Amino acid sequence: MKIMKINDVKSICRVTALLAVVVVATVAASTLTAQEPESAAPPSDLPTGKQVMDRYIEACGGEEAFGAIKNRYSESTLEFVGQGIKLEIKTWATRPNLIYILMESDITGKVEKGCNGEVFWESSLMSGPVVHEGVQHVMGVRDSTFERFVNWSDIYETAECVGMTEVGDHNCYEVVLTPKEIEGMEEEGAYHPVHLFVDDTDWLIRKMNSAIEIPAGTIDVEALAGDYQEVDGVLLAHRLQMNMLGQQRLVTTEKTEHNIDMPEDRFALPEDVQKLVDK
Amino acid sequence: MWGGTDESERWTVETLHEFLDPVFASGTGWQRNVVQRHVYVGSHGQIGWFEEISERIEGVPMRTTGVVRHTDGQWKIVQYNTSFAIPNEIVADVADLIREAKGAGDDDQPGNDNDDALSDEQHQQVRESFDYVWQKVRDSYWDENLGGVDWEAARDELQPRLEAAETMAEARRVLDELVSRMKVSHFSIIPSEAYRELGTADEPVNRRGETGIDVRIVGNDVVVVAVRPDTPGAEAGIRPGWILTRINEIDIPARLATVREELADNPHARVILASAANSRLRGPVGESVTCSFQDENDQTVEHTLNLITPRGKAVQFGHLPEFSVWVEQRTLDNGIGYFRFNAFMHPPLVMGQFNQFMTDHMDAPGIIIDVRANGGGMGEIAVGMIGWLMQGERQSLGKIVLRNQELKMIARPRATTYDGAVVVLIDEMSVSAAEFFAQGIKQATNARLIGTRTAGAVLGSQIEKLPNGDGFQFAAANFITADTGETLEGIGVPPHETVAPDRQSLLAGKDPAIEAAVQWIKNQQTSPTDDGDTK
Repeated sequence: MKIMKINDVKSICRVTALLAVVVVATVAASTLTAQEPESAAPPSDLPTGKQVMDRYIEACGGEEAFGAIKNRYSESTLEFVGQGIKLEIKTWATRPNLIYILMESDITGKVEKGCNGEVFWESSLMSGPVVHEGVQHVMGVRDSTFERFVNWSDIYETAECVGMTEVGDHNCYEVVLTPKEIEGMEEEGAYHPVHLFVDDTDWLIRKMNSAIEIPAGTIDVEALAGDYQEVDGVLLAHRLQMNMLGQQRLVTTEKTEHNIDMPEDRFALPEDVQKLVDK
Repeated sequence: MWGGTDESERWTVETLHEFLDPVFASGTGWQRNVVQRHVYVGSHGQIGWFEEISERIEGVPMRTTGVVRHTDGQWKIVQYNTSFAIPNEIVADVADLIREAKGAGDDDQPGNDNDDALSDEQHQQVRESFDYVWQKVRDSYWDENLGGVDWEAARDELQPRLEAAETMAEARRVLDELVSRMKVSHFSIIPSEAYRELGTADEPVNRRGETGIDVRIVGNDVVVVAVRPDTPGAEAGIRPGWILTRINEIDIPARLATVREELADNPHARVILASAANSRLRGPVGESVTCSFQDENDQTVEHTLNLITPRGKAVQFGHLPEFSVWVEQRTLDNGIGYFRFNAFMHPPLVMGQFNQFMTDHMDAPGIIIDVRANGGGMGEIAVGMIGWLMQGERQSLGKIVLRNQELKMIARPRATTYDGAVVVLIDEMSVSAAEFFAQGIKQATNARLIGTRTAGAVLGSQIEKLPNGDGFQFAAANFITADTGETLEGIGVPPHETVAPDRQSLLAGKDPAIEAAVQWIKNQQTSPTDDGDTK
């Protein structure tokens, strides 16, 4: 008899709890800044971390080209691979660490995230306005840094080349970026190192491994970068495949514009977020 | 309802009038000469049925069957179906002609012809689907021990059956059998046909139609607990408290007894029984179901109910077949706010309205949130709702357990929160995220749960497409409560106060759970410590 089967619960369980941890990430090429920290000493047959990062920046267009970019607007698609879910994302970013991310869909409703340089916040129909504190604040403010791998020395204490490994068909140097400690911010988990895998032939970043901290816990993320395209003289990865929580998320960038006119209040805190800050 | 010989001919009284009135008004029509007719009347003298053979101009005999009902001193036709008899020796030829007339396009889609022999390509697709399902469960199910199920043995046993499958329906049964071995909720194979019902701009939506009647198991009966206004159920005069005794050819009491016996050891028996009864009252929009009821006077009455487009917003989420999401809210006479919705989905609709509801009812003496028969959805919506109702600091409601990862579900209070009396209504059809919500609000607030124990189907899942075009719902995560450290799967959330629907109250037009909720809120205003638990 058909209705005897356990699977008949499916008719009501198809509308089901989903693990909708949405992570918006970008990979951007970058350039070195004037003040450069000392890299850790590498094994004798490896370049230093700084040397690898220098080659990476040069391969992506060079310091001058990146320096000419004051801000960026991009439109991307975040796909939950295999699950038939796609979200449209718009991102506005500018120096030094101002960012505003907007995602609107029937699946999530309107979701906003941003950093005005000091406050890392988000707001959605589901959560209401939230001002992140502690670890999330530290990581959010730091990782909002414009061209963070170009300006890596602003936020990372050391860049250490620790070995070579294969990423797909690419032979890569593995560079470990260790974040600088921020005074008064000693939260455990705020200083996870970032492992970059830089191609030894074309010097592009092929993979990034890191851990991110969200209120739910620590999530290990492997991000594979690809489809580098030149935009205004710099190479930017337009495809980022993230492996996390046993699932694949694919970020595809469809449009990038630089040095656009951004309204002054583009990165201002929304009223309800400001109220929380003032509380 | 008039069923014509063409597949598209499903005429309701209204559509038939629309078509025929102008024809008759012009003075034309047609004549059918009946050459044979048999009429039968049921033992109560209210319902009759007939069969007849008539001759058409083309000379091909037409067979007609129908149902008549005695109303206001007249016999009226409630169902009328016409058909041509096809000699057995030419059935195959006619079938070919029908397929040809319907076009070959559908044949390109895998799994479309459930009863047709599988092509080599389709057979390969179901093999790949079987392997994908088997490996996915092995590698990604939240418990690496797979709940003690001998997964290798399941594959070894079922693979030969898959190889022997001759049709897509048979192959799908094997896939179904495979995932059912896990013996937990949130595993299912969704037939590819479900996706082809999705609407597009050129092809109207074909969601599962409804009658407007909601039923539950009450004692040994399937009882109507609600009839929504302006639906076929309401227009037929069906009332809460009536006992459903037959749906089409199915004898409900007999089926209920059989199923109960066979489900004796199944932890999801309650929700399976309740959902099965309700699902029998649904079907393609435009079709109908014929139901028998025992009314308030214990008289048997029969109604043929059209299936209408379900209420609410049509929602598409990933690989879930399209479904409807609706919200119902009002302020009761005593100022208490009442909010009900059927799924934790579509935040613009559900959270948008809930946020407004909370803003409008911040000064209300109490709030009732009704998640009875709520099919679940996104846990984030549940967390967001709890944020309106909790006080103090943010807190963990429990953890999501994946194969190699645990994540806390954190609720944080909104900037402004409601501190009045809150009641959540639950029942055996509160499923998944609705159960998580009930458990979370029980833990994080002083809210009271009233109703019956929830379904006990609380796992996190995702849905992927298989090579044969079917959907595969897969339980990827377990949920562990923060307060007890236990799973809710197979257990459910018990209410603080058990209030189940009873026939007498329903016949009196009452909803016992809402009445209990209102009473408790009133008590809180006078004697906040009196919780009157009936655990």
